[in-house]
Amino acid sequence: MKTKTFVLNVTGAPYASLAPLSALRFAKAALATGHKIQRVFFYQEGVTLANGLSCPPQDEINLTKEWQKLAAEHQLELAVCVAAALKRGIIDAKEAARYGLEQHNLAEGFVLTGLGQLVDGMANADRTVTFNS
Amino acid sequence: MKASNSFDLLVVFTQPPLTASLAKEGLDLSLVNSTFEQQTGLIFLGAGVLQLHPNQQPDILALKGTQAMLQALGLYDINQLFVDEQALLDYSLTTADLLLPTESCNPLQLQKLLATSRNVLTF
Repeated sequence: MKTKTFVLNVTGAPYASLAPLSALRFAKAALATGHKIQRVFFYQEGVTLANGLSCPPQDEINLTKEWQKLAAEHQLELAVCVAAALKRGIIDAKEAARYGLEQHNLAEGFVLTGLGQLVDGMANADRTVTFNS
Repeated sequence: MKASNSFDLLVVFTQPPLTASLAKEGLDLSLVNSTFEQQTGLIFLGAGVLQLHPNQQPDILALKGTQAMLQALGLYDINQLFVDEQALLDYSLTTADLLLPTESCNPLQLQKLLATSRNVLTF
């Protein structure tokens, strides 16, 4: 079997849609069968997965933590669209300083980045798969 | 028609204007894609054809319209815009009514465009 490189584009919100969970399951299945995940790009409502303050009930899956775990295990890049994130209140220390905000909430392991990272990913990966709402 | 060209990315617009910011995001992505020297085509499907309706007044709703961005597409070498022939009929429009020059496509032509593009993103 030929190894393929994937970029995942996650545009649906956690809990309100299945997008981050479906993408997580896809990523696990792809990695388990020897494929590569070049980058995971969180875009549109998908950026809210990167909110480090979300606390789902203990008996429910914590999607943010699950993604952090998978990313740490496989050195995955979790890229978050900065424009979509800022608009929805997902912010890192640097942007908080820039906008004069006292708090920031970007979850560990996620990086705010530009749309260029999605375009670069699409140009170089064998396939880009979108998970939307 | 030029539908035999294969694109690096086709951006598909399906939502009418004055709704969410999806169309603006699709245009943002189109412009970025083009600056990376990737061949970019735009498809307007269903109610998405209304994005190209002239005489929109988004400011009445305190919304930021996309007309300026649409008009900037040419500066980014994005000149291939395709519209859904049936949608134009549904909304009593012709390509002559639209804000920008477009090619009207039947379902087979649209299917071919989508099938031959390296990537497709829908907004």
